[in-house]
Amino acid sequence: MAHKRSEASANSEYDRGIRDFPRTDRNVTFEPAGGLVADLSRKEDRVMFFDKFTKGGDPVYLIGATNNTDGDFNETTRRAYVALKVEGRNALLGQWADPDGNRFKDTSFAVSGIPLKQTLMFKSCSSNRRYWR
Amino acid sequence: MESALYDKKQKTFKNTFAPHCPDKELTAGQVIGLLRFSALQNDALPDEVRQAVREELGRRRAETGHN
Repeated sequence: MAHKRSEASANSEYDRGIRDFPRTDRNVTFEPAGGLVADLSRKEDRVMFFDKFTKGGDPVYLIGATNNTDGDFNETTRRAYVALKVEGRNALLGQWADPDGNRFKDTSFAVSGIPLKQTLMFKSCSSNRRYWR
Repeated sequence: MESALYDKKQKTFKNTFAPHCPDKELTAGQVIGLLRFSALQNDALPDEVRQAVREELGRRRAETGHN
């Protein structure tokens, strides 16, 4: 886990993340805390991402915390990001597009060193709006 | 766990478009998961998969209001 952060610090980091979010039409995953920009369809980016987030070589799981239909970041993505950072998690911001080119922005997080079963619990929590209410 | 990602009733597509993904077949729900986390780009999708993703997203939005 990353270091736990205060709400104020997490909000500042989120603001920087929005400011520095890569301007691209591609699907992309961004880590505001470290400035890591990853297009995980590319092998070199997957290796970089894995090296950054793996715990002792264990698999890295990417878990969605929001499920936005907005084309932009909003209060929901902010709340999720801040909640994750306060918990000490590796919070991420991402952009993806549907086949018609509609873009969506979401908050997610990376975890490693835990059993697959626990990731499903996280998934369940996030779909129960633990992070984005 | 109820999730479209694990819905075995969904139509599957031979995985010719995500060589880094070990699954031999993928559902539209799984493809959406890959797109969502940038593990796949839309320009890699065959037309029939693109259409299935479009339909699955439409179904989800109609049912839940979300993607």
